[in-house]
Amino acid sequence: MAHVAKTVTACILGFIAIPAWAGPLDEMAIERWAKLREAERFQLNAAERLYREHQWKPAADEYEKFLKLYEKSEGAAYSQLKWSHCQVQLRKQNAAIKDGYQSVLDYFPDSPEAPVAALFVGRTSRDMGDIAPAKKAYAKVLSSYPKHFTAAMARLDLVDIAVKENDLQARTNLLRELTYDVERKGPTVEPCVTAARQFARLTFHTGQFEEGLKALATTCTEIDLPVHLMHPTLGGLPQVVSELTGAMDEPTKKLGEKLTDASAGWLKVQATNWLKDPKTKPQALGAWYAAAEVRRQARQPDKQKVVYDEMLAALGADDQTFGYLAQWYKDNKQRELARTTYAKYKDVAAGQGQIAHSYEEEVKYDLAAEIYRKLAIADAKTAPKWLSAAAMAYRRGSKPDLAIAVYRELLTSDATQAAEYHFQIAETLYHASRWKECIQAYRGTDRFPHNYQHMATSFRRLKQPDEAITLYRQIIAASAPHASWALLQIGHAQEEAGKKEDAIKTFKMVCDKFPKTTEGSQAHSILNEKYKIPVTLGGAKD
Amino acid sequence: MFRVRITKRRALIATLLFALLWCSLVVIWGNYLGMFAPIGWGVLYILGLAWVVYAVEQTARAIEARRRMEKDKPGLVWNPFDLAACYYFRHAQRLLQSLLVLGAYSILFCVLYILAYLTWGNRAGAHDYDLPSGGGSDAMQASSVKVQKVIRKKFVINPYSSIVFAAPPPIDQIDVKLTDESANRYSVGQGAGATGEGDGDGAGFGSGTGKGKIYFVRLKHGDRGWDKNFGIGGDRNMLAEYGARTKQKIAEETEYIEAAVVAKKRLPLLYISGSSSLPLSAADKKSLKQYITEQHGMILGDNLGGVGFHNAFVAAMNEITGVQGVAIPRDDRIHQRPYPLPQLPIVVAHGGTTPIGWKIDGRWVAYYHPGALSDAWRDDHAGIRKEVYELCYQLGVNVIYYAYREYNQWLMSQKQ
Repeated sequence: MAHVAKTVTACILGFIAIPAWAGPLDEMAIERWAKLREAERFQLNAAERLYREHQWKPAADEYEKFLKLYEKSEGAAYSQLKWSHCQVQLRKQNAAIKDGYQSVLDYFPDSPEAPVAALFVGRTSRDMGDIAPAKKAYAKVLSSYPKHFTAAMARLDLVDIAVKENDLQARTNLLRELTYDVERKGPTVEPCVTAARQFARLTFHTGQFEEGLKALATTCTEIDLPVHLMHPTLGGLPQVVSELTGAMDEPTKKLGEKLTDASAGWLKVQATNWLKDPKTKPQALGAWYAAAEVRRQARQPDKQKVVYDEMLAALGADDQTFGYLAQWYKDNKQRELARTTYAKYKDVAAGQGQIAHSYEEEVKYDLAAEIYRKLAIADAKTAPKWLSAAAMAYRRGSKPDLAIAVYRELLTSDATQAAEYHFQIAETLYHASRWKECIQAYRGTDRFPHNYQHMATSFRRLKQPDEAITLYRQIIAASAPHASWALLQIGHAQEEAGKKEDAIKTFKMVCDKFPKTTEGSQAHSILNEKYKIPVTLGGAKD
Repeated sequence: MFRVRITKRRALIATLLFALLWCSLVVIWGNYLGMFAPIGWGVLYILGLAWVVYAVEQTARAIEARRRMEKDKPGLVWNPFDLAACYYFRHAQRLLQSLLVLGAYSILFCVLYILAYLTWGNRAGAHDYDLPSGGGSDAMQASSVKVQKVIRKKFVINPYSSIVFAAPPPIDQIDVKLTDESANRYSVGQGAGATGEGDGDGAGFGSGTGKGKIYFVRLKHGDRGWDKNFGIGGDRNMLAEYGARTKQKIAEETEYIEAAVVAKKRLPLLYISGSSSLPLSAADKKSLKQYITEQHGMILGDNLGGVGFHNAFVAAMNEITGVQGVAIPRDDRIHQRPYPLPQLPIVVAHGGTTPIGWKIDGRWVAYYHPGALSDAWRDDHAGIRKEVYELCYQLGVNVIYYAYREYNQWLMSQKQ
């Protein structure tokens, strides 16, 4: 339960927290390292090692020590900057700005670290939610260091702020500037490329394909453009098309259709041109498939199929195109036609495998297993793969005995993977709720603690909680990351055994020993809500 | 065809039923009636007035008829229903009687109106949330160290004594021996101005009033955990601790309030707790938005149950404030004044271990504690270590102080 909360928090914090960079923002040039004296280098290396190991507090102490000992050194400004980074990681952002980054600006204004420190004054303020001071700091970076790479990064950060403030005009202007006006060299390339991609997506949203394409073309070669266009985090064309054509209002829908026609047309032209050269044929095919995908995202299945038909007419029979076409039939609920298409594969085994898979999708597991078995007989080399697929089809079809028979067959025919097949047999029995047999089967496997966890669950299903508790204790002893989970499960097992007092004690122990974990939260809720016990123990500091 | 005849008796019953129903509605949902309130009260007033006029008229006529029968001249009459009453004089007696009845009826009606809106229990809203007057500061005072000199005993020596004493060293060469450092360190509430902000006397705030107090008010909402740790033995402990530590005046009890009315309340801090969800309607969210933006209020969120409340609270605050939540720095003012807190105390991590804040114009408008803060405020402190629950009290003091201080500054700026 609480892991979801932690994930959400982690997302928030991940978004706002500054990562431990490795690049121009937290590294010193080799030439400057060479200027350090031996003692200075030794001290700075000690700090750097701790920094790399994410030991922020000792690293900050070491950087501080360097500053005290060698305040006139070439590495002093760098040391001050890194001390500030450590403070940010320790969530002391105010100290980082006032005593760290600002000190770099005040005492080492001409050092290479000064522009970086100025940028981080803005970034750290932004991450603390202080938008106005952040904007001011970014403006200072732009005015004081207009040609420095930090100016490009500051602009990109300002784009983020504009997005949050719904300031479309500022966002567009900044992105355009970064895409076309800022010179791309060294560390400036990355923010400019990111901005160009964002600008392309923004332009696609207004239905202007040509403008977006022009922006995206600044980030890659022409031959890579279709791939970049279709990639969700680069050009993001399919997502934009889907969003626009799926809108409820007619004008937005029309924008989407306009974008679809323009992009599909351009992709087809590129495919036609590149097909003339055998060297660029793979890219040509990619572009053509991309045109079909754009039609699919635009909810134009007929036009999508036309693309596949055109490809088959122009290029002849091809497994990949057949695969796309069959998928189209499946999407449009024509499963028999899909299977007919799969049957046309040049690679017969692959085609039959797809047919079997389509039966599985229709919950016709016997038919699927039959095909997989035939495929296994046809080719001894690929037999284990097909037999495993057949066993899985039987498992999905609630026929564990048949699945186990297949796995046993595999144990002899493919002895190298015996451990895996033993494990699959145990899993099959577990999911079939055959508890006694699965316990025996798990005993022969080596995937700890998964096997112990499932064995303990099986014992609990067999109303043997004491056996389960013994296993949970072994998990606690052998696997620290699973200790809190196992202790909570002991509590549940004691509840099932009717030992409520013991269970309460165990839940309290979970709260006391693991207050920062998901299980601690769960145990706390159980004690509060189920047993109405407010004194849960626990308590921690972070 | 069935026809209903309006008789005097039926009309009276209908009027009484309407009055009863309306008063019940006001007592139960008084804050939600909106525009229906004046209409309902108006109808009740007119109906009541009609009955009063009718009753007075009938009584006056009966008295007049009886007097005609008796033929005796009455003495000094005081009965207000009698037109011959001495205070109606000789002319325009009926007019004066009508005015008197109208006045008396209106006063009684006002009393009824006030009674209907009176609230019992700890429901908030019946009073203003003035700040306690006073002044002070939250600045840390430097710790002082006093050196205690130990002067050696001096002996008066008989120069003719047979005992030989070495001459004592000069007084300035005496080796100073420190027996102890006086641990005169700053504690919250200590100092001339006490804890607060402003130039007034005692602990409090410059914009406060004599009747002002520190209130701890929580939001009533649909989740079952909204009132967990409420009242005596729960959040009342926190309020008492705040009072004891800062010397500021506090309310007698903690209170609750509905989201629908919070928009109009000049309340510096609103506490929201829950265990599984935070069911707020669009109107509630609008009201909370007005509360934090127009009334300059602050929200303290406390997760008492798990991921459901965590997600709901974070999403609601993102929507209400219009900004994204950020991790509150350890060295932020809210974690440093009056108590410097090096780490965040939690009872159990229902929503992680990092406090999340929502900042507008440099002010935290919402503070979210992910780990059952108010469990530590209870009498039993949830059984956690003293060290941790003491930090939980300190965090509570810091958040309350922050909210009231920000509110005080806002009030001061408005006065200017």
